[in-house]
Amino acid sequence: MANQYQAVGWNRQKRIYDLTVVGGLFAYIAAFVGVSATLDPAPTIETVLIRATGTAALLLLHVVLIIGPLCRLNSKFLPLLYNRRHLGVTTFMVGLAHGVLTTIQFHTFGDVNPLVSILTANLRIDSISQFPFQPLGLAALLILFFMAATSHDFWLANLTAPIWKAMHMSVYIAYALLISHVALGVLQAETHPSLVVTLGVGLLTVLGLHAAAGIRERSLDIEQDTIVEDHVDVCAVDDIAEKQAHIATIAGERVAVFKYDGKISCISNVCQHQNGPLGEGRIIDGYITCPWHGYQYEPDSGRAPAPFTECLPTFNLKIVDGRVHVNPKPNPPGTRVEPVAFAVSEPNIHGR
Amino acid sequence: MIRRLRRAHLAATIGLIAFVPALVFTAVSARSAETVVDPTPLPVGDPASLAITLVDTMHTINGVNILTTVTTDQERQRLVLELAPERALRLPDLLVYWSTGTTVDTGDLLGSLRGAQHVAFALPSEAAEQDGQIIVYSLGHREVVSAFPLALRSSMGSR
Repeated sequence: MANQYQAVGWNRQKRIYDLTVVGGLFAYIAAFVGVSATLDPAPTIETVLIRATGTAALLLLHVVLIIGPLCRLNSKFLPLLYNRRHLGVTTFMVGLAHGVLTTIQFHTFGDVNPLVSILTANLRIDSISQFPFQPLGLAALLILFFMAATSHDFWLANLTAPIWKAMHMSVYIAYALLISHVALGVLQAETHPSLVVTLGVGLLTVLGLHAAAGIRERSLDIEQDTIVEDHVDVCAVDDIAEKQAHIATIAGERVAVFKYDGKISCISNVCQHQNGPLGEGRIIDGYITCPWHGYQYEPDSGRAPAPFTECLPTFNLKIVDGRVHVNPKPNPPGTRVEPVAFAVSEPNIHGR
Repeated sequence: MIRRLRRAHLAATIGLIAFVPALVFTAVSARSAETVVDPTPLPVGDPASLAITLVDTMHTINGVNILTTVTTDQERQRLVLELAPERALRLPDLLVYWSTGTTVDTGDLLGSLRGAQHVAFALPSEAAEQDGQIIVYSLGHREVVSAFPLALRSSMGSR
């Protein structure tokens, strides 16, 4: 959590995550080199490594991009999200290796600066099949560098999560540039159908999952419109599982109504860390715990436990005839609101 | 995630769905429509007049068999080297030299060799008078990939 900054706040989960990523990466490259040597021994090791790192970076970017929608569609994928930034940095490093090897192979034997050579060696922008695809890859790599360089919690905390996340949405520009780099580059020279099919499957997976998650999120953003005495009727008490929350959209943003120990509290659904969905988390050890990275908050005040300083807006509420009515006007972040006790009428049949 | 970002996220997804598949489709379609024309002329004259075969043998370059033929005309004025790979060469940057030495530094550049393309080069007139060799050189790797001798003096005199 955000008590102090370290290069990496290592824990057991992060070590396992990173070892899996690095092990998988080296296994992929070794397998690629081995299969290449068996099926087509003619290319040099430099050429094979250029191909291996290029395909590995593209594969990693696909994995990075599908983790988000997978987690929105099914919480079982949340462990993949926990350390996704390390996966993103790895993607940049592998892409950088591809770029360096390619530059050495194709742009260092002339008398022009290699970077200038990449940008000026091919100027046929009037042709599709001869289009200068290498600058597209360079542009994507620069975006990935920018994202990797600002991936640390230092930048997240100082830029604030909304700005940081808006900046990091440039990954979609990088993805479009990389697909263009591949389609206008290697797919022009290598015509085996398996390459087009593989790229198409990756593209459909990324776009399909994003579309499905987008449709789901859009349905959750429908405003609650039953207003009773300046309060919004969001749900019945019995609709909420113990130590969990009901998420509702009021006044343009989502709130999370938590039920715990015979009481109800309502806070913003947006985690201060990365804007994760707090209402999809649980109350653990008395604290609302974000499902993304485990940031915790007191349910009645929205304050993170000391020594941490994050605070969330809270909402006043009341219970009328077994239903939760929330005042849509948020309290300043960290404002304590006395939890509202409710009478336990019958066993909660919605408990999960 | 806050609602404004969710909307931006959805807009980005719609943008990708609209743009990227169309780009891939266009790129894949274009590769079969545009033919790459080799701008390098083959200065070998009329092939029909090259009636006399001086060399007709097989060499191997980077694991690919190459049918190597040297032909000349009745007057023995022109010498033409033809290289016909059995299948595509995987090296993209091969240059063909005729040289009296063992390096390309003192040789004559004949032209480039790529893919499964059959190529014909005009040999310098010195090739009829001096023994030399054909050197296949990788520009990117700056190394000789293959070299084989070309001795035409006896052939030129005997026919």
